[in-house]
Amino acid sequence: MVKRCVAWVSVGAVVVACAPSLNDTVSLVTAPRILAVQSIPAEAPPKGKLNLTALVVDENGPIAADAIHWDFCTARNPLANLGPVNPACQEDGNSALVPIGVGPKAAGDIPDIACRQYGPEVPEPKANETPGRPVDPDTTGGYYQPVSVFAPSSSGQLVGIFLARLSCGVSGASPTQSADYNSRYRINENPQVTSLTASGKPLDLDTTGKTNAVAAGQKLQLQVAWPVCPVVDVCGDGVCGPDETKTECPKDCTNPQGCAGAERYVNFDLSSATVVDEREGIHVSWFATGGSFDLDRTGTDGSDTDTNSTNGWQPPSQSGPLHMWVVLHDDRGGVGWAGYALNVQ
Amino acid sequence: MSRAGRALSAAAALALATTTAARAYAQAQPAAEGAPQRTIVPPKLVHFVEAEFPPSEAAAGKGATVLLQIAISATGAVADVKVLETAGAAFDTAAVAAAKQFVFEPALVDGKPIPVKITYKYVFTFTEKMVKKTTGDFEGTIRDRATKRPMQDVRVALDTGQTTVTDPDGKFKILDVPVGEHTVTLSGEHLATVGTTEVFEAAKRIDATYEVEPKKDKSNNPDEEEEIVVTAPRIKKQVVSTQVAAEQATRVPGTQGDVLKVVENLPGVARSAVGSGALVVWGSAPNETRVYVDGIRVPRLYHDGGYRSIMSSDFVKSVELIPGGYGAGYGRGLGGIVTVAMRPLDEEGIHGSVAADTIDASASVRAKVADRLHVAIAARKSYLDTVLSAVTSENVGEYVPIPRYWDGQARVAYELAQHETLEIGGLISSDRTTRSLPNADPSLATSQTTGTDFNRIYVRYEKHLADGAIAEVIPSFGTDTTTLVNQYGNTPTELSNTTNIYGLRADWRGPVATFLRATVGVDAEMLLSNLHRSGSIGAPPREGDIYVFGEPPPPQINEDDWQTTIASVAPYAEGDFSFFDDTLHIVPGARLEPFVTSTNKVTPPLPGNPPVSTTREEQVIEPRISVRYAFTPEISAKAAYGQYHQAPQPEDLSAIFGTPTLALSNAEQSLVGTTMQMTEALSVEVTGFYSTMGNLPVRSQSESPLIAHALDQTGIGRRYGMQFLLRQQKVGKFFGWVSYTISRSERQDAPNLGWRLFDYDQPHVFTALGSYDLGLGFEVGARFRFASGYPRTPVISSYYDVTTDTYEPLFGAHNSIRILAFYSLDVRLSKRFKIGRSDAEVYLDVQNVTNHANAEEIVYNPTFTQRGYITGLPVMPVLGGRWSW
Repeated sequence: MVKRCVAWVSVGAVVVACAPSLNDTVSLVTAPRILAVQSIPAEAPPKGKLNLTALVVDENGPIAADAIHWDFCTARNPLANLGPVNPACQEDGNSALVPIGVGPKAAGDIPDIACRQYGPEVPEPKANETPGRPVDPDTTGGYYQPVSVFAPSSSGQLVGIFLARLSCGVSGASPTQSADYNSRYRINENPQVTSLTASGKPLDLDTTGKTNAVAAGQKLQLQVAWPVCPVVDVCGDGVCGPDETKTECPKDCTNPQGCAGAERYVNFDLSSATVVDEREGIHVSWFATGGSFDLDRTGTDGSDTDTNSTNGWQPPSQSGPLHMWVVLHDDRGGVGWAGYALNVQ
Repeated sequence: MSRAGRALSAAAALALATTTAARAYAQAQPAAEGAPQRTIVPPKLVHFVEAEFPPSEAAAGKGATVLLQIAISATGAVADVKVLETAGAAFDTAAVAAAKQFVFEPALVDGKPIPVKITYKYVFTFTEKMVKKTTGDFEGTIRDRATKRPMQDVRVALDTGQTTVTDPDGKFKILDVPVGEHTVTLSGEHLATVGTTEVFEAAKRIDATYEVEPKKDKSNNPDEEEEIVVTAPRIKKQVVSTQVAAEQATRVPGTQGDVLKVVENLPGVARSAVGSGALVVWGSAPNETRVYVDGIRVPRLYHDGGYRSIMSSDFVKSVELIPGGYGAGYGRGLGGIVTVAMRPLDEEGIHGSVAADTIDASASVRAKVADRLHVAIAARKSYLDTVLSAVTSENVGEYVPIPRYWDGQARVAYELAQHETLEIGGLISSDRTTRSLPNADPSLATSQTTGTDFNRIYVRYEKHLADGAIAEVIPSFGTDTTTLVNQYGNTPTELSNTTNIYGLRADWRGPVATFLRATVGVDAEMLLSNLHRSGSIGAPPREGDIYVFGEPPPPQINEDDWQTTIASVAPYAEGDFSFFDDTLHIVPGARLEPFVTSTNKVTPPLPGNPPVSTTREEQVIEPRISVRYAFTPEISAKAAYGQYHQAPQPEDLSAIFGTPTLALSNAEQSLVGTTMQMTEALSVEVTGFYSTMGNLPVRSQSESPLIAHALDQTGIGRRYGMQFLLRQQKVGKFFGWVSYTISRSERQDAPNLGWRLFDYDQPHVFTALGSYDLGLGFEVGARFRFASGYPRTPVISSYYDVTTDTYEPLFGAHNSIRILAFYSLDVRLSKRFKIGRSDAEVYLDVQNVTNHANAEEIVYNPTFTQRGYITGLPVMPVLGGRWSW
């Protein structure tokens, strides 16, 4: 990236302040990396089972992740640490880690004390101490169980931290508000890529075994799409919305399904101390083993009703195979991705 | 008129007076021989009158004998007195006058009284006797300011009516000046009348050297202000302090004529981070150093960005930085103090100024509107953001905040009586800064808006008493409002604080004895704060936090609204004992300060439940002592020790984001130093300091912190170092100074953690500056600065947060690396000229003329595999002009 400078004119002289030119392109995959981790379901209560899958790639495409080992991290994050998790969670072999599996996939039951350890419930007191302070939620009202992912690779061990969303209820609300929240809250659903087009032409997923041909050096306008989620609840649309109940709409809410796009959900707003309706934003991470994207990240916020996001991509000038991935994140920690095999011609 | 100081002579408590101790000897003449035997009784002196020893003869220091012939009548009364042997007219007159009052028993012959004549020796004996002198003496020298040559025939007059004229050596002497404050007026053929005031004390001598500028032409311009500079060593009330007069401060390169910006160039002051304008003094945090304007505390010295100070330079008489060891009159801070003295409103006529440069414009007016009434008003507003928006489409605030500010001051002073004034005034200031970095992914977009406003209203009553004492009462009231609104993606941070501040300072300072000047007073302050904070629990960052520039704040959020009351009333007393001819000063002092800290929520209340408040009372006694000893008039040594306390910040008393039960933090400061006056205008000062701090609030290190204990008071600190100042007062065409501070400031956040460098530690700070008058109104100045970079914590590795698709840093040892050192050469060129009877100045102030790319912050690439530096504020020329009348 070109050295970024901002300039202004003062008395006929141009003065500038500059940031250094650092390699800040994360979308180009040139070495083994963990690109994403998905849990199914995207949200679960304590004792709930999580099925975890990792997307591990290198410059040649997806790689087998048979040696990945997965751990639940049990170390709480001190207030003095401004990172998302306790640093112990990224130390392979740390006593705070509880193994849950090995391989590209793993399954584990969320610890039954997760909402006390990482949620709004009063934590277990230490010996001879009064109970401590519960964990604070994020802006979506979420609490998360850290999952440590260690993937050996040719370039050393890859370390990833995945935050599995917990269903722990709400903190700071009155009993009436808690009841309202609990009745209306719908657990998160992972977002899903419904299509990726390149200058209007849909690309085939790599899971189909097909390779997509692209012209060398010819810039493409990519657009990724995700499902449309209802902005108002309509019984029979297949989605059990916040304002629908099993009684009123058994069709949608007997076996409630979420929406793999920008879902509506309820949250407890601390400022107004009320239960409010909110809508997810979708954030898109772009990756490829060659070429260059205009932007590493694109997306929408909760007020944006678009169900797609665009980005420019310049294929390499030399022909050859390459791989591309698009990873979607929603505001509540849900993840989904799609991979594509390309052939530059 | 300006004064550089004056000197009191050594305690000369002795004064000589004389008294008469005259003894008289009477000698009667013998009777004639051969006469028939008769009974003769000589006259007998029954009432002796002591003659007054002639004052004119006392200087000789010796007595005398006058031989008198006294004619005694038959009644015993003295009929006549004649001098037979003279001892001088004065002694003769005194002896005759006394003898005429003698009373005798008459001489008797056979029992009958007869008139006789006798010879009488009246002896005057000189004896010294000590009496207490009740007046002071005044002497000194008048010199040409530019050439330093003595000025003859300058008339020196006191408002007592006593006058004298300087001799060929420029010297003068006036004895027996009544005690109290008196106006000294200097006038002469080649000198416009100028005046100053001196305070005279009993049995003490003022030895003053005055430097004046003779009139250069015969224009007799009544508006041309003559200046008087007193360069004799002044009495320093503080052990270590650096004071700069306003006129000199405006000419320091890099200040763009802003007097208070000179503080940045004083020893002991670290270079602030770009865009902050924060004061870091002797390794203390910005909020530990307090700023006062004529005894009224204000929350800041500079506007956002540090481009300008919060007060018009036309209102400033001088600024003094006391980096540590200050006396009992001030407190509530663990660092140093900056005191700004406003210029007195005592000018005749109307004066004002208008100024503008690339950054802002300002104006001021000062006027005498009635016989005893003066008013003054000043205002300033910035427009740099408007200028930048007009000339570039770049987001110039991306790395360097571009502030928007304005400020104003107003004063009304009324002279109740001579040396008694009442002043009502106000200060107001406002700052806004906005930065935004949009992003195609809303979760990465950032924005920041800050606002800082304050205002003060005050009344000042000041009375100079006849004995040289000064009494002062200053009540004040004001409001401080700060707001911060950040947004990093979906994570907000909001913090607002509105504080009503009530202040009262009242003191009396004056002579108690010949060897003692005392100050007694009371310093009271009450802060009533309303605060709101919401958003990330880890933002805004605190000193000691480990993070990298641009890092997103913790996503956990919460919210709190709380009120606090922090009040203290501190009576204090200080005595300046002088010994050994005023060469030794011992200044003990003490400050007794009860603090009350109250918060309306001791814990987060449960929904539907009212909050429970908490109140904490602490009473502290703060001893202070300083010692100054002048080995010679040129060489002196000093030392000081003091204990200090500071109340917690209202922002730290939240039940959710802080700890409502925080106690006072404390510090002990020690310093020792020496000053050498190498010439009358060149001095060197070396000071070493050591300070320890305790009970500092830090973020809880616990994995399971208690409710309402987000902060623990386990932090301790220490800072130590030395500072050097070589200073050349203005001599002829040049003034300047060289300052160097070497120091280290460390903190320990918890007992189980080691010492780490303080976030504002800056081990080396070097400044050399000077200004030279080229003549014809041209003046050139230069300033070179070198400063160590602030410490930072290195990123040694990273891990990938797959949930947010971001890399998180893993840090090495806390504050174990530094931003690259800063150095800069700044140049100032100015031209002064006359426009009619007014003055104008045009200047070009160029910072960093070498365009050196100074590193201001460390940044990393998103994967933390590469590290670089943001470089900011390269060559920055500021062209400005000022017109004053």
